[in-house]
Amino acid sequence: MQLIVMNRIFIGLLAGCLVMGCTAKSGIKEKAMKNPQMLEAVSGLTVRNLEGKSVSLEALWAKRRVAIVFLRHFG
Amino acid sequence: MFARQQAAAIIKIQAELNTLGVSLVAIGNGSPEQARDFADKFGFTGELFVDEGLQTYKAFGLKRGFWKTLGPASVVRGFKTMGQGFRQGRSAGDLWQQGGIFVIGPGNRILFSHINERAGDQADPKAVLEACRINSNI
Repeated sequence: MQLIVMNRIFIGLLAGCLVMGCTAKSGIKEKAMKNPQMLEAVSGLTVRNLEGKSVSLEALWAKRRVAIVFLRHFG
Repeated sequence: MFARQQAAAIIKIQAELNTLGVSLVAIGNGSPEQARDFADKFGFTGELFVDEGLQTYKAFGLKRGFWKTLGPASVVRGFKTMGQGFRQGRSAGDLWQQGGIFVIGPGNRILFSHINERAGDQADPKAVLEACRINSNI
């Protein structure tokens, strides 16, 4: 049901955009590298692993390099 | 559908990241059970975590909002993404939350960052790999 509603909303908005002649900005805009101080904001935060246990976020990159991807949602 | 596209893009570069000594970590905002389903469905073999409260998303300054997901630019990008064969599936998590990618470490060293401006906006996987290559001898 949720899936059908989402698809209908999407198709409706798509049709509206086409009528209005909307266009997406082309290309992928890369952000400037952020200041390492930014990571102070994540100090003390935790995430949960698939067993439900809390894991320190900082520990993920303390001793290694990681590519950390924030997913929009699982779907 | 954009989430599927994002997953496909990162899975595609996972082997090369590993070769460069970079571990792939993904954080989603659903439950651990939904994360497990996601990994099984898409063949994601990196480390997977969840943050249902979105605290880490906020701390990293990631975008969130109705128009970030269903704004005109996202809708048009959605049309292109559908053309690439991706379809909207049953979503699990916050529909209005946007994602991003960061290459970090060891320690508090940020080697690459990209914050998705809206649904359908993603980092160029080649740029991610290039940042890893440049910093591979540090």
